[in-house]
Amino acid sequence: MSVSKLIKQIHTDFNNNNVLYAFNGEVNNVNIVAFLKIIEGYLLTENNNQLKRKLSQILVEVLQNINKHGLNYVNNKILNSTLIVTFQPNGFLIYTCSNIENTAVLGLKTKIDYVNSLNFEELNTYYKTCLKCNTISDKGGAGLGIIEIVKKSENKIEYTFDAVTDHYSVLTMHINVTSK
Amino acid sequence: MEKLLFDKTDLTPSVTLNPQANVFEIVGPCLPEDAFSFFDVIIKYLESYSLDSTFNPYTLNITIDYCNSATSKMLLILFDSIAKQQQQQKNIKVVWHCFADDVDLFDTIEEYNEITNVGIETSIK
Repeated sequence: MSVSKLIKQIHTDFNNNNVLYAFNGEVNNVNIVAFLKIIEGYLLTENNNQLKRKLSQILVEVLQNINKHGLNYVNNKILNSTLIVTFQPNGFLIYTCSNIENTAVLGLKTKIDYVNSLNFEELNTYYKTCLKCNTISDKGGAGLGIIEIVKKSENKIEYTFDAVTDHYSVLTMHINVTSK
Repeated sequence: MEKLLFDKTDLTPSVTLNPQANVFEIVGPCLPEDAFSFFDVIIKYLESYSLDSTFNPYTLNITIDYCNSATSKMLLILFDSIAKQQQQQKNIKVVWHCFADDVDLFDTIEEYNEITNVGIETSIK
């Protein structure tokens, strides 16, 4: 497809899907802050402050997880990640596509499946247990990110893992952010 | 004790721990890459101050609207440390300044109080 056709297709798709923000590239702490500022700027007329805070909080978790635990370089070449945020009638949808080492897939899948299986009360209890007992890892995480995403979004994480090579897979995540 | 001041950055809040002026506050979103190092200094400073001969009762004012999950863990360690100082008869209050509609933050504060008994009070901003 030519670039002009591609951009027209993207333009149409973005408008049909109410895309608020889209990014493809390296996720790091500098551009995480920039994303937040841009998205918060777009939402100045949105009256539901609680929903806006949820979106910011969940974006921080999702993007810092990609930055800390994703596979962002192979042979000194950047592996791009993709972020799309769309408007929905009752909130927002966050889509991410990032890369992860195959050795980390099972652990992450197990964690997401477990957190997804919990009901509201069980999730709160599990969060408090992890908050009390978990320690900060060498990568600087507290093992709370996935729990925070499900707890704050009030929805389960939808995901897929697709192997690209023997070394890494592509992880897509789809998070629906709604308000109480 | 000498005051401890951190300027606000894109990822970290401003921190003022100033015994001379009796101003103790943490203000701004908190998303540090290394939450442990950021809070360890604060926790150790407040522990030292609680043992210092110049200690005066104080209120730690917190205005953090959102933070990353590693910060959530380090805040728990901070509150746990303050709760232990309170048990040593140190008169320390913690006040978290929140928006009235921030239901999630009120829930979070309740969780910290349940776990640590630090008695965080809330103030509507």
